[in-house]
Amino acid sequence: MKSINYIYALLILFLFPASIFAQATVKGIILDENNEPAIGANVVITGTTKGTVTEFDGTYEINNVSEGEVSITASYVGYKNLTKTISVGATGTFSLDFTLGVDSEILEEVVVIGYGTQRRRELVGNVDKINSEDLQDQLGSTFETALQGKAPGIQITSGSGTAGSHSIIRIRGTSSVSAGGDPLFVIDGVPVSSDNYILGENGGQNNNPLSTLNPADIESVEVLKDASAAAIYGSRAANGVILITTKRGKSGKPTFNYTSRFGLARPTNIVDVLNAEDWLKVRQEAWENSGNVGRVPLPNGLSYDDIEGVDTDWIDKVIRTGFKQEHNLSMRAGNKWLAAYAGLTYSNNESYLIKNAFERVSGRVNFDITPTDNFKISLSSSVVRGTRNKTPQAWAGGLGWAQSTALPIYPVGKVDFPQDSPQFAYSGFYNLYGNPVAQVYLQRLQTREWRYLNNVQLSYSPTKDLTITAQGSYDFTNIGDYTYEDKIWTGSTPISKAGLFKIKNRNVFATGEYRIPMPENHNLKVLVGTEYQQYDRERVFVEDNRFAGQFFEVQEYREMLDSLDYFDDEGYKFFSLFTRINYSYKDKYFIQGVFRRDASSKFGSNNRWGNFPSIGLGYIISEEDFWPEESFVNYVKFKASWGLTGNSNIPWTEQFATFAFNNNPGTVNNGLNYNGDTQHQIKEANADLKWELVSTIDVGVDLGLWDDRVTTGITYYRKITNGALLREFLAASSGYDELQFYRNVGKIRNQGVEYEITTRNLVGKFSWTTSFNIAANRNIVLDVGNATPDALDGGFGDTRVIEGQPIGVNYIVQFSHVDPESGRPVYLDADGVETFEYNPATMRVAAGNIQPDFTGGIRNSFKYKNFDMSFLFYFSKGGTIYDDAAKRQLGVISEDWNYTYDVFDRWRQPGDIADLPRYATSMLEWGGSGNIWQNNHSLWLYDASFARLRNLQIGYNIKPKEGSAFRNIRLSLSGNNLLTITKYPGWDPEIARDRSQEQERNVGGTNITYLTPPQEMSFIFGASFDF
Amino acid sequence: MKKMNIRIIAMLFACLAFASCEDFLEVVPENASSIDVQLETAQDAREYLNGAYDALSFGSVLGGQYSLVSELMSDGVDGTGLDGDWFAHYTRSTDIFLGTTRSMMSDAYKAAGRANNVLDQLGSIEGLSEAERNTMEGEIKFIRSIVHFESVRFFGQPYGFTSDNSQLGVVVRTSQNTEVLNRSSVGAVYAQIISDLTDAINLLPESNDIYANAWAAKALLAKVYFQMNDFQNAYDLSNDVIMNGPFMFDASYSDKYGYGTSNEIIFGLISTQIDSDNANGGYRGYLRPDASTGVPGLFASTEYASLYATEPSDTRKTDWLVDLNGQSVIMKFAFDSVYTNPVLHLTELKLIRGESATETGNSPAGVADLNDIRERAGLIALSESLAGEPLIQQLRIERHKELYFENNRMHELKRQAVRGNPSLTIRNAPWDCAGMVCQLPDNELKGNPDMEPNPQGGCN
Repeated sequence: MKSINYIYALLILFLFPASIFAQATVKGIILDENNEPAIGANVVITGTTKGTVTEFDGTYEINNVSEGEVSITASYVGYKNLTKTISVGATGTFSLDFTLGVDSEILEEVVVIGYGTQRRRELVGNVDKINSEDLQDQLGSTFETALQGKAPGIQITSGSGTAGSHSIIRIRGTSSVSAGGDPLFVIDGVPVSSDNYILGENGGQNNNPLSTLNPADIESVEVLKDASAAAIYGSRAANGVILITTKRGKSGKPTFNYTSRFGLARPTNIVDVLNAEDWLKVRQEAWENSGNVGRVPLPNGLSYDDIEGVDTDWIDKVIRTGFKQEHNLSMRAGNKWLAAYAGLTYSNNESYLIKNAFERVSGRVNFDITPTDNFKISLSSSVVRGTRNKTPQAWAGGLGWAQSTALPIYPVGKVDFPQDSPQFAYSGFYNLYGNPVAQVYLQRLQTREWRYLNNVQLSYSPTKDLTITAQGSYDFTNIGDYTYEDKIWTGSTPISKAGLFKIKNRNVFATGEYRIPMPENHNLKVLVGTEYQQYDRERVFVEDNRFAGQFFEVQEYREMLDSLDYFDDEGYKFFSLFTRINYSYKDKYFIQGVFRRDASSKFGSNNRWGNFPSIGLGYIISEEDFWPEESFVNYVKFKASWGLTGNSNIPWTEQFATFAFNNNPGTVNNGLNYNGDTQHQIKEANADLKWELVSTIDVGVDLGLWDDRVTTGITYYRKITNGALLREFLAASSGYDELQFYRNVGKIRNQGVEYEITTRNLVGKFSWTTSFNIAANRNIVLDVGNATPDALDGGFGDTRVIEGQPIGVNYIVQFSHVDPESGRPVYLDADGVETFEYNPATMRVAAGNIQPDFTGGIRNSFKYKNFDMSFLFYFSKGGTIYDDAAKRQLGVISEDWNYTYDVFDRWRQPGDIADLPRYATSMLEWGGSGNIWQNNHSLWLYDASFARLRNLQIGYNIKPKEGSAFRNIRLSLSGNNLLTITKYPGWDPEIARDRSQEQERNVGGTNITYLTPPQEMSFIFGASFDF
Repeated sequence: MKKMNIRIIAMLFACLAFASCEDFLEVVPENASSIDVQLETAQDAREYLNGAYDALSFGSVLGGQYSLVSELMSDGVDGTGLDGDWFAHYTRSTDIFLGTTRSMMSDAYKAAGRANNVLDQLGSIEGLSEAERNTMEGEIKFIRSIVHFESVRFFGQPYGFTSDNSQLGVVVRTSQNTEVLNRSSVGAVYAQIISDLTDAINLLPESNDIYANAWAAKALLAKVYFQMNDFQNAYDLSNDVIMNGPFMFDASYSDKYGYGTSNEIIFGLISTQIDSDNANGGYRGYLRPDASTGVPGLFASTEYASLYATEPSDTRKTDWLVDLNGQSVIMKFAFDSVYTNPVLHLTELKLIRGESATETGNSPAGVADLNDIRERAGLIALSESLAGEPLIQQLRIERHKELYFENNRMHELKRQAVRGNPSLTIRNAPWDCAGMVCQLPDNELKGNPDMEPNPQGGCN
């Protein structure tokens, strides 16, 4: 009975004063540091939930305030909380105004962590956050390049200067060999589809699935680097997770932004190839070296009269100044029950390659509806159309051909036709297939992609401590890759080809988060959830010769495409259960435990479920009472974590025995059917297949000095991949069609140190901030099972995975020097003994390495009155570049390629000390492999170190006068890749080569070039209007 | 979308409640299955064997590269302007990275693998009579004999290179599984071939639609024995096929290089034109003067063209070689779109019988076969008194002429060297230099660290 009385007394205490006796009202206005109204700020009576939100004019009113000393707290995103006390009488209106100060305290910054958010203070995992303003310094087709150099341990190798190209992102090194090494991308809680290989390597380039995400819509990007942060994504988190959060509405009256940006693009560098005179000189010398006399014969039956006066600079013919533009209109608005963001963007990015452009039209609306205080509906919806006009590159044409098979003695065209006509390009070619100018007229490649990303989130809080959230999403991509080849190009009939795909990626999850009531100073929060993902891909390929010269503009052709039957191309499912428990004591001791359990259709039948636990600890020692108040070290936090994450980025069919039936459309069939139908087995089943498991430990310390004038942090991590998926091989003589299979047998270690520091060197009227970050990763392959080096290859360029070496070493014969007597190359055999013999079967060694020793960035930002300026350097030190085309551009002097000017550094007579051997017309005379394409050795290996001025930006803000329609106008001028410092003699030391599958991307995606186009240098002018 | 989400949520609850996730999570590709389901009926078995013959007809196997490589590495092709893999073959400097040898190895063994698949399942296939079962087993052993015989000739030194034939040959596959096997000695490979073909001769009927029959097995075994310089066996088998088989010596030497006009073909890759099949004979593409460039990829060597210099009345010269700007275009094969690839034919059997007869002291039989071939080519018959070495030389000239671009020349020169000419050179290189054998391709080596590559070099 006693306890009931007690409760009664409490009820009376809490309820009656408020509801019956109190009549007073407190009202006022809340202003920001510029004395502008703070719209939508929270105002509550301290220690209660009683409060309100400010109106458009920044005013608020709280009714029924009880008599006495009342303290009221105002809070506003990005500002410090402010509490004031006021004496309130029994009745009447009392005034209390607030002016809020900007919150520079990064500890209170809200960070998205997957199925929720945390304050930075609470973080025990390693999460880097990049805000929207930092993503705006480039005008490109894709957001990920803007992350480069801005956080340690996120190694981004930007894609080439081709419009819509994609970067290679490796978080804390490469932890996979055969399984995909890219991070998981999650947009507003939806793990999105991001398949780089969907269109293969058509035109020598991959598709970039991230190019249909509009950078202007992004509010923030969070990168989950360690296991403690990433384990919540379980079997897909081993390569890190990139969380993308789109902009949402804010309460307040509608605000608009209109931004236009214009830019120009050029290649960062041009490496000249020989002109006609020099080319003939080099050929003549090689010809005479072979014991011939007279003038060297010309290719394709040309006579010297034919080439009189011809000297074509093919590189100049395929390069232009690209024009870029982007126009973006966005709106944010909101009131008590509805907040909305809407954005509309048009952009067209021409690259420096002729005919090459990426156009994007994008629309997004995000609504947050709050019908009652404890119920919220969030709708997010975007539609993007990306159109990529492709200019073939590398081996497929364009700039690749311009520096290789298009010889300076070939004219572009003999007869003067209008520049834009096919006749212009075609007329008078001697070698049609080597002509990159003819190509862009006669072979058109275009990718059209529609992407719809929609999700609905319901969130309900029956009590203050419990929130239940459910989200359903549909990520749909419709992508078509179209090729049209003119009859001049094919030599017979014109051909229209299309590869059409539909990707349906559905995801639902539900979570419940409960803050368990605890004694004072203790804080315990539990999240439980379940998630289901279903991914289906359908495709159809079609080739048709009925649509001469018209392509898909023709209604009839499109109807034909629409009538095609798609068939299942890929499919997988994930089902997951997960939980996250956060405990903290006094806001200075933190423990986080995460456990996720994933089942997937991709795993073999013997391994259906995987478990992914993690635990993280945090300790803010500077909050202890014993920490001296006057110390210049104002903040110290220790963090440590351990966890397991998985990588299940493996082909969906791997676990099955598969068969080919020639009468079954879409299955493998070699084009010949012997006497009717044929069948055969492609490969055996693999029931043991599973995810690779990465075990990560992470320890670090974060420091704040001199009242956060300097913030810095250092982290050590060690990642061990166990059961790494390795693509092993059956011998060709096993007789299977598919010789490769995956086994969980490898072991890889990445360990490293990440350091970052931000110093606010000057504050006040003239401010100067420097941010610096650097990361050193050491990668080593500890175990490869039975795999031979050649089994684990990185495609062309001869990179391999070898036990005891980092992933992606160049496994090649060592070139020693050019023999001064004979001019022949001297190699080293496996024991380091000099020899003229060249035998890759026995002489190859690990001679280079695609992994840099360290990477990082340094950025300086200055502000004076309305001016601001910033520049960012990105650097990468160590590693080697293998130039896979050098064997042709500097090797045998054949009649079908052009050469770079370095070719003149050759041996000419006995006694010469030269870089390159004596000119020769065949491999036999040159001295190496019998096959000109296999002349791979360490002579073509270069130092990969570089530093580049990634971005330089100058801005001016015009603050309009009171009463103007505009709140702010900003003009800016920026340049990207203006300067590159490197010893590498090729086009560009930053190389992300397009590849045909994941292992090639992991092992030879970076630092291996084969005529890969360089990055672009761009100049951008922007004008932004806020109103 | 709404509907779908409701369905998914319902399924999820079912999944949680009844732990039936295993089925729910299955996503099975359309072409996934297991071999005992897939290879169940007589029809399935036939289609699998079709798949094996199909693989034999690939451009990388009997349909092309065998013929090309055999001529490139010996003396059949004009070497000017060659590059890439062809140049490596031409200069006898193949290494592990050649596309040609990769596909020669993998595609040939696909034929063996597909055949062996049927052999493994033969006992459990429904609806096969005893006779049908025997026929299939015979075909399987015939198919894999071709694979082993051709592979060992390209990737190992020839039979007789060492006295005990212990030099490394190729992997012998008699069952289809993922077991890792190493190379057998050349002697062991030949022993397997002889055993398989002997079985095949007993198992196969004399007539078997377009597929291998007992005559084909005998003809192949004759060819194998001849390659081994085992003349008595070669004579007995070739004589049996010629005397007792249903094959007729064509009136024209060109009849068999076309579509359906020959009576000579003992085993061919036949175009039946069912389902638009076409045993294409890929090598012809490189020889065509009507290719899109207007110029063939390969021309005849002067060594070959000069074979006809001593007897210019040979009609094969004008029929098979046509001059184009001083180079000889090879017109031996019809360039029809549909083509039957003659793998074993009567002309070759007569050349085997003739030389084997001569080697075993039966010169008159040798002269008779020689003159059949000569007279068909418009040449005069040689004297019946011709015997011994001069007769052998004449037979070898006819072999050189007749079997041009039929995967003969390199293997034949090596056989001759083993037979009694240890100093023989093949286009200026010792017949037994390391590079005269194709290096194993990386796709054969990389799955097995114990697989030993061939030595390289030594030919230049």
